[in-house]
Amino acid sequence: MKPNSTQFDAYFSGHANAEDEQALATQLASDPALADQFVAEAKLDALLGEIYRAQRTEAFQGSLLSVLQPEPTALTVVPPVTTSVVRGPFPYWRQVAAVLVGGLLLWGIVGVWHGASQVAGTKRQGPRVQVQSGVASSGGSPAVQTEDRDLEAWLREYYVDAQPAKEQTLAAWVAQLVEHEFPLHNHLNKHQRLGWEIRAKDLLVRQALEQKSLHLSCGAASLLTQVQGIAALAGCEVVVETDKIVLTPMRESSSGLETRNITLAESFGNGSGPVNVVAAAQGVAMDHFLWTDLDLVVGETRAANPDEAIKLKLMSCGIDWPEGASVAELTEVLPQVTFSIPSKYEEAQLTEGFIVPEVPDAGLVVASPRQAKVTNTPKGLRQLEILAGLRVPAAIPSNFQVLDFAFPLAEAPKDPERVLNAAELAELEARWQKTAAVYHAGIQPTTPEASQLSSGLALAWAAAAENATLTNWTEVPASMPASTKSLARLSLQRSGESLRIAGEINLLPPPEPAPIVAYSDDGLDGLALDYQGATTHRLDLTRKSIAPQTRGWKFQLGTLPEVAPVDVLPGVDVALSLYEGQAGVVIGPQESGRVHYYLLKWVK
Amino acid sequence: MSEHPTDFLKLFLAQERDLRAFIGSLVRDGQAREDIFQETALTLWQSFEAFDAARSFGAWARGVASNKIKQSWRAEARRPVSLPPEAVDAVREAFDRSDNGDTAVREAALRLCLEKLPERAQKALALKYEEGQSAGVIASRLGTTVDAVHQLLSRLRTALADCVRRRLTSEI
Repeated sequence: MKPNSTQFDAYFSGHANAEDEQALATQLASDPALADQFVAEAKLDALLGEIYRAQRTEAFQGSLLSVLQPEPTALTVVPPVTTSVVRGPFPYWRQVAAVLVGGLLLWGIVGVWHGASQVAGTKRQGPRVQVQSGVASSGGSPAVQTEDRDLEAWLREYYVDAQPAKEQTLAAWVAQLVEHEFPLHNHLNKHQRLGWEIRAKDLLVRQALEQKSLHLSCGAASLLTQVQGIAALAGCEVVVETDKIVLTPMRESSSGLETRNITLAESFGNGSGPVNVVAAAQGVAMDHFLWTDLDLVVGETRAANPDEAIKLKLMSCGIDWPEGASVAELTEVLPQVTFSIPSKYEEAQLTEGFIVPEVPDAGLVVASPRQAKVTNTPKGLRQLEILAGLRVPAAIPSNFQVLDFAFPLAEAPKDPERVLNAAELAELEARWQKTAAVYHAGIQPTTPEASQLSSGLALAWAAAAENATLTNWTEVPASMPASTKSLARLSLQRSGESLRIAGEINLLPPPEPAPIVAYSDDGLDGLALDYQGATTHRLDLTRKSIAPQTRGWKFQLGTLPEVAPVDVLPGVDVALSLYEGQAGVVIGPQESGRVHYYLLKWVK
Repeated sequence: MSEHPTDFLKLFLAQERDLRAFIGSLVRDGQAREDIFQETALTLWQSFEAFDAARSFGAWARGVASNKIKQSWRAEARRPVSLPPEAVDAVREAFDRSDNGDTAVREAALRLCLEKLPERAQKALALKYEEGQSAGVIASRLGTTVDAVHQLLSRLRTALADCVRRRLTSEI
């Protein structure tokens, strides 16, 4: 039979219909000559795909390398792990760090507005921004109607080229953002939201640098993420002034909890507090989050009363809690610990407290003395499902063991109201350090079970970031040579959609010295690279124009002194983490003598 | 039989592209393709002790991949069309027949051929193979119709195949 090139074209061009495919299949099975030509076409198709994908990756890596190592002679990027070397290639690190910190500030602030926008505003007078309740009606936003082909131009017009006036005050640009752009926020697609956030970050950073008036007295980045949640949950109006953030509790709130659709996942990470951690774990939206039964440890001040703890925390960090705003008001709107779970677990409630790790230097540790760990019991897995927002696959291995990754206390105190003594606090902190490493790094591949868990969690986070449910993942044994690539993949299902997200983790052999190469495709907002050396080194990628092939990226590189180095557990060479809701890479501890890198590619 | 990981790596990496091509020829969905590739790689690694070094690693790998594909199709009831097992076997056997180790040469020839393409053609290919865009999106980007995109890609494939064939023939 003569080979039918038309059928091949249709098949490999991707527009063959079912009849075409069946006809081709029938012919293939009976005609070796046709099969031979089919194979030739298949090889051509595969080679084309390989060549073009390689071009894209190379272009991106080239851009990344040029940023990491400005000197033209150096293509190997990562020098030995020393503080001086880490800083060496980046003489502008101070500025960049400032930019980055500023970005984090805005990240949190944006979340505050976003959260607060879900509740009605108050009548507070003065130089402030009234966050509008609700969002623009659907269909009215030009952003909604923006098609992909217009997206880049749209972003450029609205978010990149638009320069704020120099004389614009902080309050003014906040007003501009909120009034003109924030109402659109919920109607933007992922790319558009990202563009919005980029611009918002830029604006904040620029203002902060120019006016030198934006400051918070402590733990700014992580604080704001906490404030964001606290404010929104407490029904506060958020007012941003030139030198502080004021939270004004609502006194006449008619909003019920059910109306508060607080989106906090964007601020997940950066040593975040429990709110955003849980929010991220839940997916994009978290409806209810309350503090009942939690024992808050606020810096040096311990408070069994969560309301008091919150107040103390806010005040200690320069947040004005206005006179007359009783913490009792906070309590009134915080009835029970309730988490909304995606999909089928929508009605599920976690009735027991839990512990969510917090970066020690951020000062806030939320601990539940009732629960020390999650086990592989049905209940434990259920809790993992709730906590991580993942549906544990039915085919989960029988030896799947969830370690006490998020629960610092080995043994829970019998009395949940008892304030921890100094030794217990020390133990908590020590254990938390370890837990945080696992939680943040997401990997502790010293045992198959731990590896299973860590990857599962990482993937669950990835799922959560997409507001989807993890339905399946595959693991590759630790003994498998890394160069075989594709160490983990996951499949996601979101609300019946056919959404699938593949997390492909490629571990490549470590050359000497090893370059750090990180790659993120369109399915992900960005990528963070943690460098575990004497100095925590962080690479933050956000989309801006560098390489046309990658739709543009901008790399912000610098030290983040307020972010404590993660104490990577011994034996951990590499770790996958999510940082600020973004996938990231953690490079192994220097004492390991080896530096590996992950090549992350997220495909939607 | 070989037990050393480097032996596995050497064989696997040498066959990786052809293995991807084989899987890709039968599994058009990109995500499913990657899933099967990984499962195949995993099985190959786990079963490597049983591999007879006197045999072709590529043929062995394609055999494993064939089974994975069939398993996947059996489990994936939603897939509207799946090729019958006979077709999978026929394609596998055709791959075995063409397993002459010329992939690198073909790639080099293809790269040269691609350089000769006009800008619009290169853009169309980039949209399809680099960005994985649908024909609709490609048509939108190029300012043409979906049918025209199908035709353009079809002609490009034919032209590139001819170009590669000529280059390989001339080199011989």
